[in-house]
Amino acid sequence: MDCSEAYEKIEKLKNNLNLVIRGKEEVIELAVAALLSRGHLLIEDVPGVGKTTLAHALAKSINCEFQRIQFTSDLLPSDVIGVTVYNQAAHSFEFRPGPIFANIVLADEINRTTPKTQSALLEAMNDRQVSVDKVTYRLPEPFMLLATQNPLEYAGTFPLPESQLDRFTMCIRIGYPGEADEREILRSVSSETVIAGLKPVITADDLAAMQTLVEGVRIEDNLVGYILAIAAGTRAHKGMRLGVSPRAAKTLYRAAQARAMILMRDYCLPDDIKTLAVPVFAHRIIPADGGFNDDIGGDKGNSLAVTLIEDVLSNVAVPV
Amino acid sequence: MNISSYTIILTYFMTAIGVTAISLVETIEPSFTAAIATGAAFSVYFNVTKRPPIPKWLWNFLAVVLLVFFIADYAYISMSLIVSSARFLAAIFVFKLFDLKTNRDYLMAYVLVFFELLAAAASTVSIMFFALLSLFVVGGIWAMIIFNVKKDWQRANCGGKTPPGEPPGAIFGLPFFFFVLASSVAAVLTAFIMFFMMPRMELGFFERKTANAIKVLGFSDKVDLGEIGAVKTDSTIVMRVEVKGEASREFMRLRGAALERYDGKSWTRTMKHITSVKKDALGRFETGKKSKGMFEQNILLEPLETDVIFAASFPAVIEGKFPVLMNDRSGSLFVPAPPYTRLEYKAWSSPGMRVEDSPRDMSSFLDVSALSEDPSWGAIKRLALEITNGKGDDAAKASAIERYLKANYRYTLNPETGKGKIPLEDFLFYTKAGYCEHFATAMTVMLRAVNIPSRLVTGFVQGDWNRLGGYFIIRQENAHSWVEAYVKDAGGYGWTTLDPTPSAGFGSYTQPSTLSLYFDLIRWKWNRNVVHYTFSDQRKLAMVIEGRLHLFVSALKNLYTTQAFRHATQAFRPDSIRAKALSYVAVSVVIAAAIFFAALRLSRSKGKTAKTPLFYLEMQRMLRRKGIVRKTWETPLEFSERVDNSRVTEITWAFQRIRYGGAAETPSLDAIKKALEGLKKDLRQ
Repeated sequence: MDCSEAYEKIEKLKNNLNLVIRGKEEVIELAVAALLSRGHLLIEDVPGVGKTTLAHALAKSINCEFQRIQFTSDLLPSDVIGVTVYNQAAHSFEFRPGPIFANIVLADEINRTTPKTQSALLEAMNDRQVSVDKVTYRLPEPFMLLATQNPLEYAGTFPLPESQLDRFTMCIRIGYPGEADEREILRSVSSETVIAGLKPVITADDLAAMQTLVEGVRIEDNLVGYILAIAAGTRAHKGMRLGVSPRAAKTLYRAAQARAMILMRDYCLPDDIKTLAVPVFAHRIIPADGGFNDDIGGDKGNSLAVTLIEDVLSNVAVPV
Repeated sequence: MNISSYTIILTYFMTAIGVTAISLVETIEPSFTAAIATGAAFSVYFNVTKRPPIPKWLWNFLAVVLLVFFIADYAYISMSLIVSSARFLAAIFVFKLFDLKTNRDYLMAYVLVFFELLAAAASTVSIMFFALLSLFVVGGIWAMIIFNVKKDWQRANCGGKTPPGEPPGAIFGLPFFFFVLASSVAAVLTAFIMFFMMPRMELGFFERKTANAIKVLGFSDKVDLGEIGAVKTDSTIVMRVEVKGEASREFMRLRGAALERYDGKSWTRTMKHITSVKKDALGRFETGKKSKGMFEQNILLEPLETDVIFAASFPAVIEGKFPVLMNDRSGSLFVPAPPYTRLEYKAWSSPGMRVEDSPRDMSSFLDVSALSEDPSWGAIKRLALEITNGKGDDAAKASAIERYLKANYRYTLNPETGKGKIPLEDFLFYTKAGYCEHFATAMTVMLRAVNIPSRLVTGFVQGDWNRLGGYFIIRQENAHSWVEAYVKDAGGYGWTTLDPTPSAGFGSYTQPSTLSLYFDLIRWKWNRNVVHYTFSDQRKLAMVIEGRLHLFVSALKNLYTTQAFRHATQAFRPDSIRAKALSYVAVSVVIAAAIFFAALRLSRSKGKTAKTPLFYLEMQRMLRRKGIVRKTWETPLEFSERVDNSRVTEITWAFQRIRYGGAAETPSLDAIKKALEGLKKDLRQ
């Protein structure tokens, strides 16, 4: 696959998603960037703005296996990963893969389950494999975990631990649609019908090829320096108890490449990094006065963490 | 040959000049020069193999170390500013050879070579220096041509490639070399021809030309009675006098010419016996006997139409840039011809009396032959005898006449004509009013009538005091004449100054406005510090600085030096050549090692950073002129969105493709040029 082919496919994918989520091109761009950078996506917003719809539409647009797991407090790791059962006919133990064995997995309301089950996802997210009874099973390629969570409801939830958050490429918010778009939504047929009518535009192989292509997008040395400077800025910032990890910096690097490809460039611009710094970094830091997840709602969901990252960005010189 | 080989050759050509220049500084030992040369030679390897330059922190560190060493050198080792600064320069220069990155670094190295040449110029008389200077000029021109070609090439090629495009080696063939060499030599030759051909014009904007010389009266060989009165209302400035010391509080008369022959209408200088004044050991003119009470004046004389040199009476020493200074028997001072420009000179004057112990022929100072035929002569002589009657010696008689005239005669600038046949008779017996010339003439004649040798002196009295600058502004209207009489004093026989004019005759003393004083001060300062700033002033300044520095350093040393430390440094003070050589070798080895390790460390860390294409910088410059500046945190794209101009967007995208997209997609140069021109037009509107 070459670049122009990739651009074409990405365009189709974006169009498909646009049919379902109206007026949210940036959100779609971010979601696709997470997909192309072999990442996982955490969608955090109030109910009813289209979190699950986005995940569904993404899965439907790609001709691949899709699984949805509704996370509840009594969900067990084996419910997600799979379980080894005794096959009486064969007189042997055999592994029954759980719903995680799919190309795109939607973990709905991920913060409703216990840390035990949440942690079962760690290996799957990071290493794209699961280990059951000393046997390691590879997950299918490509693999992407889409998780949603409702930041407003605290009762009966288990906030994701830092280690888990760090494994999500981005945490995005969809936000309310604009007035005109909302009017459109009301007038049009229900999103379920639209999703049902969606046709896959790319195959799993296409996706894998595009993911490889993204890794070859040119990123100048000084832009790497820019990423490092932003990362260092979060670590030195007085308003943050915890800055971002090297994994986060690496994620930003890859996501910037993906964004460049989505915007039909074979090279990164400082803008790619600057735009992605907030969705990639904001959910990973811990503000000094514990203000994460407050002040949600509205279009932007301008939490304290976002403000802090924006503050870092306004203090780092863009290399030209 | 490519451009970097060219610049390297050029740099070492300059290095050779610099090292040779250092070796010319007479008090620098050969061992130091050898160390410098070794360092430079080591840098050849460093530069040829394209090692990364020394990192900034190391460079700063070394610079600080060198500075400390320079101070120590000055304070303890060489104890000479020239030697220590020459060493400092040489060491900095060698460091710079290890830090050649940009064009600016190269140019900086050449500037250092120039300073080394300056250091050599200050301490050598070797003819080698001339050769070095010529070579430096050739090298400098070479450098300018090469760097211009390089810069133009980079600009023309947008600097898009990494590393920025270098002109192809084909340009720099042998013909190019000869062209550069020929043009450098031609430039040097032209400069020399110009130097010798150019007329030596010393008439600058601030120097008055002869055509504008101020006409002054009263200082020629013949002064008609009434001449000085005519200028009493002319406020043209003729000179400025700065007086040093206590004497500035006393009333000052600036003596010009002395005249001795009076024919009833005019005074004539008959003392044609003019001799040139001898110089003392310091090259100053000895115009009289030096005494303890001498006071110094700095005189700035406007170009006057007279060859007379003025100084407070009586001038003992004159220092100025006159080729010769002449005097006559009356002590009047002359230059051979009226000066073209402002003259600045210093005078030291002894107030009081000009002692002349062995009186020569005084007959010409007693001559009244022109008057003795006149019918009024009897009356004049009678009056003189009457006034001096009963007074003891000549000095008492003289002051009696002075007092008499002061008390009984009135000062006026418009004397009437009385019944007298000659002006003197009119003044003494009829109108009894006149101005300084009348008073002085009357007194001189009366002194002669009682047999006291006397003469009439013309000059200026002090004018407005510029309190801001501490000097007198003297105008035409301050012209004055007075009397000198040869009398016996406590110190013996000599000439003493007497002034019979009532004080009303010294001109009006309205205080000029502060603003005009300021303007005059600026003029004075300009003349003093800029127009007349000469080599000797430079030398003096250097000596003063050196002296101060020495004082400061020795004070520092006294503060911090214990006996033990002194002993310790004694060991390091290189008494033997070997000790010196060893210390230099040790220092050079340490420095070289530091540079080597730093370079090693750097060579491991890879990663070249490409440069910003020039056209983008040009665009930013154009916008900056209009006050539109990209914030440091703003990405080029954000900036172009903010500017919101299609040309800017176009240039930004071209820039981004080159800068971040690699050379794969170099946009056409013409399009960028057109966009830049379009932007220029847009900005103009």
